[in-house]
Amino acid sequence: MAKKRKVLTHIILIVVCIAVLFPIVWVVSTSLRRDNAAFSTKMFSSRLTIQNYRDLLAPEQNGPRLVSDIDALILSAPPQDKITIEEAKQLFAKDVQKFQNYIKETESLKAKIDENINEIRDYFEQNSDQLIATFSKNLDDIITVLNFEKPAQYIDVAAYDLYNNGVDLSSISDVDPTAGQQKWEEMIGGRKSQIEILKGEIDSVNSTLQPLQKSYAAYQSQFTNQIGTIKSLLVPQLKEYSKVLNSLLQILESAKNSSAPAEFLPDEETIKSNFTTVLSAIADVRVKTEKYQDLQEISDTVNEFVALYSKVLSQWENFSYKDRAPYRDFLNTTDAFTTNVASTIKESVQLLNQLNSTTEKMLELQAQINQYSSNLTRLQNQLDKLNDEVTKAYEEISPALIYLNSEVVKAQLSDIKSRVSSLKLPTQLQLLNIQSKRVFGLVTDFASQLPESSKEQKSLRALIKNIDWPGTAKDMFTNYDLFVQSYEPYMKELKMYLNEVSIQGPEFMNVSKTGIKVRPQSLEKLTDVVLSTYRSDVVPSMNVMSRKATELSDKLDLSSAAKGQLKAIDGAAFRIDQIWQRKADNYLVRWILNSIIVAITVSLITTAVTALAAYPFSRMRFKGRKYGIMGLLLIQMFPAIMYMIAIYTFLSFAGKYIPGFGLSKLSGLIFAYLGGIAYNMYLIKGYYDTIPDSLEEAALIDGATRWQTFVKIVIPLASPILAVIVILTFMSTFNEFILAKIILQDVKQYTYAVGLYTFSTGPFETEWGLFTAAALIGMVPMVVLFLLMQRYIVGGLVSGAVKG
Amino acid sequence: MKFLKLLGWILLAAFTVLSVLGGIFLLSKGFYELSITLFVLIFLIDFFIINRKAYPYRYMIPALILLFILVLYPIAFTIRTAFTNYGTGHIMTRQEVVERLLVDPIYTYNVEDGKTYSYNVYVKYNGTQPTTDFKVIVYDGDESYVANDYKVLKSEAGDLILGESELVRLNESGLRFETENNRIEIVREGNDLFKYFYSPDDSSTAINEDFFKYSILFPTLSKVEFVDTLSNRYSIRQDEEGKFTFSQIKHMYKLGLAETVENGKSVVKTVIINTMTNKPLIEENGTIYDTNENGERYAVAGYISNYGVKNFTKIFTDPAISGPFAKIFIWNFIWAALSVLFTFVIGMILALVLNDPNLRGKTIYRSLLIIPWAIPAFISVLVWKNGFFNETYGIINKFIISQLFGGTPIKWMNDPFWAKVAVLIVNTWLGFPYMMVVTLGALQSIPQDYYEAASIDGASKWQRFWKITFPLLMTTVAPLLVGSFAFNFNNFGNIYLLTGGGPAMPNTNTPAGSTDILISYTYKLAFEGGRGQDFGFASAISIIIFFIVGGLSFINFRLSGSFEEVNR
Repeated sequence: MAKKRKVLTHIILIVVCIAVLFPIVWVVSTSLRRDNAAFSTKMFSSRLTIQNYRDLLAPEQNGPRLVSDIDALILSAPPQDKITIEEAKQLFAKDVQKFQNYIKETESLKAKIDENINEIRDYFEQNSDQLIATFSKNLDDIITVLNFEKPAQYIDVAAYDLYNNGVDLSSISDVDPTAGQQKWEEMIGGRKSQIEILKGEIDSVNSTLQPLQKSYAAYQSQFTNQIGTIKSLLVPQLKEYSKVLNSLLQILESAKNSSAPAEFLPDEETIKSNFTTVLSAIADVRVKTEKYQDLQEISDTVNEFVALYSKVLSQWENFSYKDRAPYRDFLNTTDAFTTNVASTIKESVQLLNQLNSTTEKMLELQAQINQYSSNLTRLQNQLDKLNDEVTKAYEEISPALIYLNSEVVKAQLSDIKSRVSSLKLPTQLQLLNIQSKRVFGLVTDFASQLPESSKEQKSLRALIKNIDWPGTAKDMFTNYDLFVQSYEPYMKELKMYLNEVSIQGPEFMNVSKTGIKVRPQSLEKLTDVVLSTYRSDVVPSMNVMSRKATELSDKLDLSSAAKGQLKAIDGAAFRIDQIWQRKADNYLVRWILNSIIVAITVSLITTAVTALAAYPFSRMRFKGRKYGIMGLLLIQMFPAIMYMIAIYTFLSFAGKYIPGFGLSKLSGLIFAYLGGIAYNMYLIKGYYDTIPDSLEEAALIDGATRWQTFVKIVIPLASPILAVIVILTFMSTFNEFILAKIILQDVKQYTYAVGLYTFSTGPFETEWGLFTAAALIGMVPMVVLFLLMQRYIVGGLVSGAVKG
Repeated sequence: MKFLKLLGWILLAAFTVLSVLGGIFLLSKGFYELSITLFVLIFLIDFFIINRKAYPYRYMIPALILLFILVLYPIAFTIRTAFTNYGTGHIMTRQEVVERLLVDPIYTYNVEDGKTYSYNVYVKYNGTQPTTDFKVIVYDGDESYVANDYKVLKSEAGDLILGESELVRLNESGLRFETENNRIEIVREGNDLFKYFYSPDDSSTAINEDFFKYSILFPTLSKVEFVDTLSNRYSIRQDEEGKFTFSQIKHMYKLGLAETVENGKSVVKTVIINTMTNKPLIEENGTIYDTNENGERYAVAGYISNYGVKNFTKIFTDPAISGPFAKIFIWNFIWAALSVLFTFVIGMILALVLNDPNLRGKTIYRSLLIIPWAIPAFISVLVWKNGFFNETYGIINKFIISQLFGGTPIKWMNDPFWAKVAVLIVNTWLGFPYMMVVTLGALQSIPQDYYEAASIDGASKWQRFWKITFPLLMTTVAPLLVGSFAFNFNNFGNIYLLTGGGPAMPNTNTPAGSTDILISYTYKLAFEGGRGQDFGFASAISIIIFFIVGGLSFINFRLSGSFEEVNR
């Protein structure tokens, strides 16, 4: 029982390890791949190379780089502008020589490709029969899978359906396509024509419905606008006026209790008639509130206003204290009120009427829309039902369809088989290719009709996976021919221009030194050929040829010699590409150097400073000892990000006045890193505490100063922890990213961390080969260092937690 | 020995004097906090060295220097910045901005119908190469003037900002010259010889135009203003056709006095006046506004000004900020908590499995499983981001989801939910080894007797785990969990490198994203100002972060008794 559990545990652990370490495995394998992993359909590849590492660590000065170097030498331009003419001529001669070497290498590689292609051709010729036999066997396998059982029902219906779609069933015996016509019409045909009719009806309903909906939407927005205006303007106004009306009522009330006589009453009749006119204007307006909630509030406000207004009027009519002073106030107020209100009320009435008419229109349209909509739904339902029925019918006849189709395909495949049996490779490769494409098309179409993920579908798809090898081979040969075609003139021009440049170069160098910089035409042409012509003419066909060679090796079962030849073709083409392909400059080595310099400097200085500063905390008594380190630890909780603004400002300012220092300089970065003191002080002090005092006491008694005991006794004894701190600081500085990204701005100054970050964005984002290789180069030393220092890292962490 | 001591004192004195000078210099440039820091530092250092009783402190001097400049000063700076509006548009002090407006060549305009002169440039040659020693002769019909060597009016760190040159009549200048075909070909000044080099009207000198432009005009000549006898100012400017003409210019702004009413009294203040319209510029909230022809206000320049507590209250009152801020705040806590939870659970389970003394190959498994921790975090995160979570090419989308599960590719980087999932997955992968190792150590400190006693008493495996293992584990591991929480709370690197803060939240005017935590949000505010950097606000948030994390750590220290250890 225990043993079983053990095995299970091991299995689980192994699975977990694989899952956890998978990213690293992926990094390693991707860095070694020859193709661009980002665009490939395979997670791992068998075409391996260490080219990525070479490009990063020891970039080769290949063709394009040589050309630009030659250009710089001839024109005396940077980076070759500061050397003497003799030196320049010497470098120039060397470059020309290197260039010629590359040309020679390319020619020999091309010869190798030629040789291997011919070998493959011979292989095809000699093994023509076997290859054809392989192909035929593949066809046989497919035909075997295509043996379906003849279903009992619906053969006739299915036959007619296929016949109706133009499929030729003559190859199948004892099937009469036309026999099933009537039944087909019943099951399928009739329904299909009904569906068409319904679709037409639906379209016409839609064409009526849509304009209605559009105009409804227009009215709706109008409605919203009007309500908005009314609500924001009219309603508050009416409410304000209502207040005035209430005040008028109050004035009338107060007249009952007033004893002051009225003086100079204004014209009562006129005022009253004006007052009444306004009322009649608005009294009739009733807001149509059906269906729309918003209108209720408006309606209520209007009604309230009208009621209040009428109340004032009626109180007035029956008023009997017309000789009292308040009555005069009442009249004056009413007069002023009416004048103010008259025009507003007129506008309001207009608005309300407009609102009403919009509402009416909307309701009308709404009714129409509803009617058409329900019609539409009804038709749609019918359509859906019919569609379902047709689908069901097809499902029922599906086995028959499949059977018939399979028979048709089988017949066609047999036909193809007989055609290819007489072909001879490699001359008739194209004909074989045509046939293989046909097979591919037929089987794929058929397989898509089968139920998803059924056994037959899967085996068919597996069987045709590699059947297009003739196409691959043909593409390889065609592209080889294209490659040769473009290669000849390219090489000729290359040699010619190189020759001219090598002759003219020194002369132009003399001229350039005087400040007159002219680029000779031969050099221009050479640059053109190397940079543009190569890329546009030679590369496409060469790369395709190379890729097809690898594919062919995968798809076809060839002898190991043949596979080796295909691999050689791929390898030679790859090397040619490496010689002439323009490569972006990268600074990985410089970045790593920068990181190392910064990390070492920081770790040494930090360790020295903290070793010094921790000493008093361990050995002496002074004010601030108790809370010093605690406070320090606490202060360093401040998010480091915010230091950066201050430090950035400081560095940009200091950089202007102190040379060699400041932003975008390593010295600035080193300075910024030196702030990480607190935690180290804590660790070192702890270690000092474990060194017994007695040694120092003895030395002090013998006359040494405190400083001498520190330097000669404590430091040597503390060297283990100091070494650890140096290494730990080194590691954490090396991995620091944020501060470096902010401070460093020039690509050449980047540390490894920032540089790697740029590898994952921008133009390099899909250059996974370079990215993973660069990542691995930095990762491995750090991991090794970490594993070696494991003890101290873990020990430091846990000892704080485990007492004793 | 005595000599060394004397040397030491001299050095100290020199150091003190230099630092005091430096402090004064900083003060003049507006770096108040830095100069104060420097003064305090110098005072402390001198005090420590001179005072006998301050012997212990002398050991801390180098550390103190670094501490003050790299830790205390930034903190003070941040605290002060939190109460200002330091950021894009408000970077310089008011004094600097005003000076700029008055003096900088940008704020000048060509006078309409102003005088323009033609000019020739003469250059001293070094052999066949032209140098940047030049003379300019301007002429207008009959009058010819030579421009005297310019006076530097304003420079900064070696670069010329503004220079001034007097135009002197040719025959009064004391220079000798040789003419040919009615054109001055050579100018002699003392022993120096200047040859005719360039004129914008002369196409035969076109080949020298590049040198003139890049070595003479752009670095120096374009920043020189020429003054003639009538105090008109001229400068070489590019006109609409791209030609560099010598035309009359005027400064847009000048200082003036204006009367305003403040607190019931009329006060005379200096204001900046637009010379074209003679209207004073309005200053409000740290920005200086001018009015254009339509009477609309537009901002001319801004300076740092006091913002009060607005940076803090902005978090609650500004709806465009408070919404995202709250979301970021909540996610920050969730993120830290989930990270701790997942890493701890996985780490603990693995530790329990590996704690078996009878398991073979234990060390191999342990070493393998530690590797995610050993790899520098930024490398891992970049690998995960690029190779795995990349939406189009990433391994997970391409192979695992499409082929193995046949689902649709997940938008790891663009869907807020999945971005959070991605970030948590990576953080768990990075963090579980630490938890595993720590738990292993803690497990080993639990005495075996407990288990034996328990199994004698008939406890099952589950009970032994929950009643013995787990509680004892928690007492040792709890402080580390809190520490891990604090660490993840501020774990800028993992989030920023993986998603850059995550898909941006819609409807905000600050760069807030769905996977942003407070600190990455702060960073983006301060350093990635697509819509302008806001250092003030960023500083305010970081103070808040400090209180949260500091508070947590303080509690943690208290709990784990670390304070006592320090005092031993």
